[in-house]
Amino acid sequence: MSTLQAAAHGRIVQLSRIRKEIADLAKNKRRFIKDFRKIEKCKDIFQFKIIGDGVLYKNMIFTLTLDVNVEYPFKPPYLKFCHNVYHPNVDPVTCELCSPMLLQENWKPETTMEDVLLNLIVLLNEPDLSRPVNIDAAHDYIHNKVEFVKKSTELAKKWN
Amino acid sequence: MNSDDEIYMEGSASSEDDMDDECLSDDDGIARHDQSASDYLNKKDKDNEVLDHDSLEAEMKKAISEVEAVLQVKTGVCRILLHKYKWNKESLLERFYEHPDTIAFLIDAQVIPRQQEVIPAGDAECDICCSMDELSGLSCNHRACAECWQAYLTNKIVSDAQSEIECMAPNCKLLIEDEKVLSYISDPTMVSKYRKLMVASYVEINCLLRWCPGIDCGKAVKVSHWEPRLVVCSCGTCFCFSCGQNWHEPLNCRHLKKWIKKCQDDSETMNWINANTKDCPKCMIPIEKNGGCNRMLCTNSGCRYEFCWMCLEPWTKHGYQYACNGYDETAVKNPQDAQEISRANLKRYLFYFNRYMGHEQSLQLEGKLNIKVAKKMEQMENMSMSWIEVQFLRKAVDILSECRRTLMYTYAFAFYLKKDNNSIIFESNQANLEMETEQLSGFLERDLEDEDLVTLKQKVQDKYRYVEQRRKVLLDHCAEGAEQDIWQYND
Repeated sequence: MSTLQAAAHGRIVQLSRIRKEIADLAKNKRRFIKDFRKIEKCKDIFQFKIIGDGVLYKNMIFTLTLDVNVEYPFKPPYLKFCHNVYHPNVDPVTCELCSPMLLQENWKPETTMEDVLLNLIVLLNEPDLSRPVNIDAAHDYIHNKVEFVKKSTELAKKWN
Repeated sequence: MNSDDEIYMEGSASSEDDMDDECLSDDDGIARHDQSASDYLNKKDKDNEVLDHDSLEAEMKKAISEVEAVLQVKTGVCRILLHKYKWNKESLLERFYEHPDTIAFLIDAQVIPRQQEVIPAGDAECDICCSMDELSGLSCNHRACAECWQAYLTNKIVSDAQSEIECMAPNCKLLIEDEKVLSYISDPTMVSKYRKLMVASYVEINCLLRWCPGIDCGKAVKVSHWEPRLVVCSCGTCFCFSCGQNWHEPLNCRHLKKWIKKCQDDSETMNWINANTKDCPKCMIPIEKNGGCNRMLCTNSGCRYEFCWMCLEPWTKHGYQYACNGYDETAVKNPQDAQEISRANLKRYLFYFNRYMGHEQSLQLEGKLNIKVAKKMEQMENMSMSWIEVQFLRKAVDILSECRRTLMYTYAFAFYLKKDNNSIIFESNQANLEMETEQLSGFLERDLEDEDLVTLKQKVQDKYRYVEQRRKVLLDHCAEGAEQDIWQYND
């Protein structure tokens, strides 16, 4: 397959996957996902809201963007909060979610956007402390849980 | 400069061809011939083997076929198993035989699936690209169309540079056998890349193999057993097998790593030192060092002061007999607070760093000697001396370089050494070697032009033999100390 043919095939694959996954999302009617929509005309960047569950973020609303690059599903999407979140796995500068699932070397093409969003919910409730990107938040979570809860809920309320 | 040391190779015809080509293309117009290197180098080289890409692939395949005959599994599975056990055949076979359940053993090694999906009947939609197509996959029965397998594998090979690739499905850890990979990727470029990745993983995970750090050299060195030791590649690069750095005897790999990091961290200090210029201690005019010899002459016509570059003492007092390699710690008197302690530590570090860099600089500047020596050798051959008779000059330059490198690392070694009776003996050996090395350097720098040939040869040969002996005494003492664990370190 030539380079151009490969690129064209990749684009067709990407569009087919995105179309199918959006249809699946609509069909599955996940209660925790709201307002899933495309926000860029020429790029596949989606914005959506997550309604938190569990003890910590019960009914909190988080706004995120999901950047599905041209090489999806062979390369992982890029998931980013639209506002600050005090969380071990959220970069305090870029607000990017750093999940093991989204690392290039761990990524599997059969993983869907819905799988990514489910993983996001899991991470919000149970941070992955094996590779924190916000060291302060990880430290608080381990040694000073009260402080962590206080800071994270305060920051989350700020955007609700 | 490139080392002219003898290169010992066996079983690698193509490497020998490369070696011949390198000799013939020597820039100085004199073809290099194998010469006897130091005894210790000769002895150690016999354990080493230099392998190019094709030889490495052949070695890998040989190991695979040996294991394949015993385990009775497919070639691709054998490679995965050997990779898991770091290409240690004995370790793999031992684990295989002592494991009570062969199936569980293979599941743990990710070569047979933990569970299998049920395959639906008839045509199916590919989960990757959402098109109807004939689907295929691995023994775990996770399936996709051929185009998606090709795109996935190409991405793993090109973007991720992986030679161990897992199934596409989430939560499936099954590794794809080489035969399966090659059945999906048809592009010859991709096949070639994948084979290179296999060989690269073979070298990098194998503790008996290391890539040569030489520029543009694609070969690896194989040893019979792992230890920090000097190895020589057919491209002429000498390096430590354990850490891949320049051979750094008597300093061990751990201290070398710390020393390199410390020198990098203190680079601003390096700027402050400005090792390339120093003021004449008599008339304060800046002087640039242009050769390897540490005997300096102030070029100011009103001064002509001779002094030692390292300690700035007058040369009449210093001469080649004076030792300036010992740091006098009693001179640091009663530091009163943290700042004074910090200042004393910096002062101590600078003492050793200065001399380390001094010898490194000498080593680089003495690289220019090759040109002078080549001219002198040509001149001597024109005046009735035979080719073999003038080789003593090249030998002298090689020994001088080895001594500079050894002295360089002795100062890093001394930096981490605690003061005691053993370190005093070490410093005595170091002083001797440094003194004799400076004299040899002086002969080659200063006396090369105006000495008559017979006298020059006698002087140079006597000196370089003695210098080599002093270096051996120093290194033997360090090795003996390491073996008997008598060195006390302050890190």
